[in-house]
Formats: sequence, structure tokens, C-alpha cells
Amino acid sequence: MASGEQDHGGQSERGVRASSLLFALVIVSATAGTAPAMTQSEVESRLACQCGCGLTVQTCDHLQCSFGVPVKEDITSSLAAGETGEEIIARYVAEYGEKVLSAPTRKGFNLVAWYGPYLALILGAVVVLVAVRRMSSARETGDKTAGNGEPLAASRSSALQDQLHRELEELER
Amino acid sequence: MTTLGNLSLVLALGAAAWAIGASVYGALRRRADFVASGEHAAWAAYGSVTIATAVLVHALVTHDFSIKYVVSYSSTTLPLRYRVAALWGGMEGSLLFWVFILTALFSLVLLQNRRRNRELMPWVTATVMAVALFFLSLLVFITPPFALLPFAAAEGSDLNPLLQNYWMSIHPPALYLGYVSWTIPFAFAIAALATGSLDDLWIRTTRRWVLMAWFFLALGNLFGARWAYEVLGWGGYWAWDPVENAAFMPWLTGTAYLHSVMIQERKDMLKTWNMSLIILTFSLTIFGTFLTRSGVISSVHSFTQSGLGPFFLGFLALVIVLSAWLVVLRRKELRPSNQLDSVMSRESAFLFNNLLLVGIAFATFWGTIFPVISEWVRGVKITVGPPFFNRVNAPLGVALLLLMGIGPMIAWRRATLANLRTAFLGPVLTGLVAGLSAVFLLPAVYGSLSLSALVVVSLGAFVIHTIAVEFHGGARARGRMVGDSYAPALFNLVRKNQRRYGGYVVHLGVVLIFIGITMSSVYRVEEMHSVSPGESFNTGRYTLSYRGVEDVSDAHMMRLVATLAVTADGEELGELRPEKRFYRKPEQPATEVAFRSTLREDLYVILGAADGDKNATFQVYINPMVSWLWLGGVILVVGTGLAVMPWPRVSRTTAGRASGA
Repeated sequence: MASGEQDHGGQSERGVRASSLLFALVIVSATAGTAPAMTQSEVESRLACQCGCGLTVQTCDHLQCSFGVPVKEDITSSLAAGETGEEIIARYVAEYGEKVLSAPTRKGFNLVAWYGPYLALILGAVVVLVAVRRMSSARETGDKTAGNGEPLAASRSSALQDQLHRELEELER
Repeated sequence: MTTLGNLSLVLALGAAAWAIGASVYGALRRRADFVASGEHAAWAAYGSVTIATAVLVHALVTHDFSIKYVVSYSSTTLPLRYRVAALWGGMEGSLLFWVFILTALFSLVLLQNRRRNRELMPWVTATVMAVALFFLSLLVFITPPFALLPFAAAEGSDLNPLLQNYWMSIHPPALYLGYVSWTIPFAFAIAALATGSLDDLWIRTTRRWVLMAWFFLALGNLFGARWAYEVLGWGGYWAWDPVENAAFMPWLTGTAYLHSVMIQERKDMLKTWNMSLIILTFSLTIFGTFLTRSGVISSVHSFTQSGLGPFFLGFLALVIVLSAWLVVLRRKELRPSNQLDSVMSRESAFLFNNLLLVGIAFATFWGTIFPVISEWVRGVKITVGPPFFNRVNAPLGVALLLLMGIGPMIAWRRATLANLRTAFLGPVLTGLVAGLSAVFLLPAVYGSLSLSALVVVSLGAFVIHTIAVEFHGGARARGRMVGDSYAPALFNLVRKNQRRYGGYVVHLGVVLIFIGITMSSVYRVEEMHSVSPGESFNTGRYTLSYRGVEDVSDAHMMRLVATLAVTADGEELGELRPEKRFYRKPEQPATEVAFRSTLREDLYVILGAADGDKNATFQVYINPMVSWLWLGGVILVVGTGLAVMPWPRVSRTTAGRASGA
């Protein structure tokens, strides 16, 4: 019975692997393609409004904003005239400096902004991994000394039910 | 009346100072009379602050224009509900409201702990009153709410028009409740450190306070998002504004605490980490207040900016230094008395969940303060806006969504590869089926396939399946164990483990929020149309026929209201009436958007401009599935309610008998 279930489990596992592969292939082919030209709202969202609202040109809530309104009009006419989004943005950076960009550039000191959180996260992950390994290896050594190194027995078909059952019992104790 | 207000604040200040001194002295000298005196002083502080708050509300409601605050934030034409809401519309009033909530909540703590936690209570009183003292000092010495004008004004300047909205009446109170409530668990944590009672007593005592603080912070953020959606008129709801970030960060670290504290309750581990999370969360609430009021970083929430920044920064530094000193002092007692059984366990999953939550909080903090760092280091001003936060936080959010599905399915203590394979088979297949369906459906409905939408939909389906398994499997296991049939077993399962199953319902709400945010961001359609009365235009599947614009002005504001008849696929869907408003005091324009909301999408219309010939320009958005975000919020409320609902305890035998009957 157990081996039958194991075979069944093996087939399911192979099924999951195969469908995962198929899934990945479909996604890669479906999402592949060249980057489309920037839209009006994409250009607006790349520029920070300079009226003091702290929002982007796209999201500035001032109806008569002295910066946002003319910039939006300029973007509309520039895109219609054939200027690319990147060219429009470069023009504004030349005029106002880096602060007109709604996100830092990916060069120089600004890289600290982009990669700082990931470096901190990697560092944190290393700390967690080391801590988990250290904490669990101490317990496992103790378990083996005591002869309790066997993994928890659980038949495949009812493993989940047993786990829930155990947890419920534990909770209600 | 202003004399009464000022006197009340001075009395509250004195009472808070006495409460701190008497409580600390009573605790150190083991003098119950001084401890009691400290608690009585805390009650006095609450009473005095309540009187001061009532005086200010009365002045706002009755147009007492001799008070500077009333003149600055109200007018005779302002509707009553906004005159009351003006209490938190300006800096002095919002600080008073803050300390009112704090002292009111602490009076509940005093009632709850008349006979309990007597060793901890003096330190709890001292900590809460120290926070109150800080706010009261600002109100008495720096920024008094009852400051008088040289002579009474004839009329007020009115409340900022952006704040004259229903959501603004409930967004700040919810957010403040969330912020302020974190003071209670923080105070118990400090009391535990001060006394050395570092078992899980303080954790059990503050369990509901933590949930309440977390809940109101979540609600405050959601209400704020809804306010932005309805009022700011750019079709979105979250702009990664520094003050939005300030409210988001403590919610993230608070969520991390809610998960990691379970490990301490079960295994007596992570004591230092949990203590640090509580201190961090409280510190972030103060940091948020600092951001709102300092003006260091420009923000859309600049209603309450002032020169109070240095005071908040000083207080924040004091909180961090003192708390860290106490943690270091108690480091031996904070050592875990237990070990992890296995790397592959729910405990480990919770640690990684904590890592991601704190990681997102750090990324948000980093992006928020980076403009200041850049100016210090390079002398160059830069902006860190939505593109940065979306790019950095999106992958972490996706990883968190994945863990939300994985965590509950892994056994506590130790999981084996075999039972992991079995447990995950169904949810993974569901995720794959949802993903494959999305590959065909999304391009058919929206014209393109977005990888972000695909990943979130697949993971969302995976998580929902795991939640269903938890409920269904749990009910069946309980039914087998107790002999209940399915429905009573499910009911009793939830009732007896309400925090756990309430948590799963919250997870369901969060999944819907993820899906709503992703779909409305990725597949949003934005168009601008200029039309004359009688003309129509198409946006997506909708046809909008412009009927005209009418002037509906009153003493408070001038209003231009446009009418658009909406049809879709030949079916009439009614009218949308976006408005353009011009408030008379202060002379400021504002939008009143009109939208039609369904589970499929929102049709969202802004009246941009209208000329003398009634020609109008409309900004039209189609925001797919944005209502899932609000629906997720409602489910989050239900889940939290389920987790904290005080159901009477029923013994297993009684429950079994009842279900069998």
C-alpha cells in the first residue's frame, strides 16, 4: 500500500515537474519581446514634480501646478513630435539636475541607494541561516546522542492530516 | 474657556511628571502607596487631557475665533463633521489628539491591571507617562493649542480642502490609534526589561494590544489609500510618499513581531529579537511623527509641518539609546532556553518571513532617508520616488507572498521532505493551473501578458489553496478526533484556535490586496478626452456621453459638476458626475472624482477643465481589479475580528456534547 502510494506520489511529482517546465516555457515565450516605446504616463512617472508636493509629475494632485501642468503638456507634444521618452527625460535632467528624476540614477553613489537594501537583506539572510543552523545542530546532536535521530514517521497519504491532528492536539493541551 | 484648556494641559503635564516619579520610586523602594499614587496621577492626566481636548473641540464647533488654531483650521461655513475633524487637521490639535488617545488607552490598561501584573505596572505607568510627558511638554511650552490672537478674527481660514473628505474623518484617527497603541506593548516590554520578568507574561498581557495596534495601523493605511484614491485625483492610491512610508514601516515590523512572537510563546526563543522588534516598531511610530512634522523631507502630507523636528529626533534618540541599554543589560536573561529542532520547520519559515518583512521596512526606510544622505555626502539633491520603491520592494513582496503559502504548511519543530512533498502537491498544482489559465486569459482580456501579474496570480492561487487546506484539513482532523460532523467541527476548530484561523483569514485578505495592487498597477489604462456637450468618447469597453456641466455653488465653495452617461456593450450603466471645486477659504481648487467600481475594474473619471462654452476635458482611467484591494481590507478586518473576538470558553466535552445534540 505504502509503495503503491509512493509510486503514485512519484508520478505526481514528475507531473508537477513536467508541468512546471511547460509553464516556464510558455511564460518565457509569452513575455519575450522588444521593449515598447515609453507612454505619456511612463515619462510623467519618471519625473519628480518640483512644486514641493513630493510626488511625481504623473501623481501631483495640484490642478493648477506651475510645474506639473506645463510639463505634462510638453511631454504630450514632444512624444507626438517624435521625441523619445528617454530624450525628454534627458532634457529635463539637463535643465533641473538629478532631482527632477523620480528615482536615483544607477551610477556612482546612487548605487548605494539601489543595492543597500539587498546587501542588508543578504547579510540578514546569512545571519538567519547561521543562527538557524547553529540552533538546530545543537538540538540534532543532542537528539542523536539520545537516540532520537529518526525523522517523524508520516505516511504520504495522510501526512497532512496527521500534522494537523498533532498540532490541534498540541494546541488544545 | 481657553484658560481652562491651558490649565488642563499644565495639570496633565504635572500629573504625568508625578506619575513617572512616584511609579519609579514606588517600584524601586517597593512602596505600594507610591505605585498607587502614580496610577492615580495617570488617571488625573487622562482627565485633564480629556478636558483640554473637549475645550478645543468646543472652540472649533462654536467658532471661537479668538483662538489662533480655530482661525487657522476652520470657518463658519465648514460643515460640523469637518470642524470636529479639524482637531487633527493641524499640528497643535493633532498632538493633543495623540496624547488624548494615549492617556485614554492607558486608562484601559490601568483598569485591566488593577490586580494583575503588579510588578510590571509601575514601570508600565512610568514609560507611558514619559511618552505623554514628551507630547504634553510640546503642547505646553512649544506649540500651545490655545494660543490667542491679539484680537478675535471675524472669520477663519478654513480647513485644507484636501482634508474635507469623509475618509479624512476616519483615516487620521485610525492611524493615530495604530501609532499610539504600540506604546502599550512597548511600555510592557520596557517594564519586563526593567524588572527582569522576561518570561512570556508581558507577551500574553499585550497580545490583544499588539493585534489592536497592528489592526488600526493596517486600517489607517487602507483608509489613507482610499482617501488618496478619491481625493488626490491621479487614479492611484499609494505614492510612496515619505509619510505614507512612515506609516507602512511600523506595520511591517509589527507584522514581523506578530509572527516571531509565536516562536517565543511555543519555544521560549527569540526573546531578544522580539524585544528589539517591539522597540523598533515603537521607534518607527515616533519616526513617522517626526517625518510628518519636521519638514526634513518634502511630502504631500505637509499639513502639519513645523519646527518640532529636533525635539522628535531627540526623543527618538533617547528612546533608542535607553531601550538598547536595557536590552544589553538583560542580555543573559534574554538568552533562549530552547533550540530549534530542525532547519526545515515552521520556526525557520517564520524567521525568513521576519527577514523579508524587516527587509522591506529597511528598503522603505532607506529610500525615504536617502535624499538626505545624498545631500550630506554629495551635496546633490535627488528624489527617491515610486519607481525606486516599486523596483526594490516588489521582489521582496513576491517572496513574502510565497512564504505566506509555505509557512502554514510546514510542521512546527520538524518537517520531512516526504510530508512537504505531499503537503505542497495540491497547492503547487493549483498555482500552476492558475498560472497557465492566466497565460491565456490575461492577453485575451488586457491585450498583453505581464510577468508580475502572472507571478502574483499563480502565487495567490497557491496561497489560497494552502489556506483552504488548513481549514478543510483542520475541520476533518477535528471531526475525527472529537466525533463532530463537518460544520460543527469547522466552527469549533476556528473558535478554539481563533488567533490562528483569524490569521489565515487575514492572509486571504492580504492575497487579495496583492492581486488588486498588481493588476491595477500593471493593466491600468489612462486616457484624456476633450469633448463638447452631446459628444461621446470610448475608453476600453465603455462609451461615455458628455451631457454638460453645471455650476452648483454655495457659500463654502464653487462647484462645476459634469455629467457623463456611461454605457458598456450596449448596456446603460448610469451616470458619473465628476466635479471641479474651488474652495473660497483658502482659495484653492480641488477635484471630486467620480468612479464606477466593480470587481472586474473601476472606471475612474476626473474633470480636468471646463470652459465658458461647457467644453470639458476629462482624464479617464480604467483600474482593473482595484476593488480587490478594498475587499482584501474588509477581509483583513474580519480576520482580525475573528482573532480577537472574546468568545466564551467552552470545554471540549461541552462542545462535543453540544455538537452531538
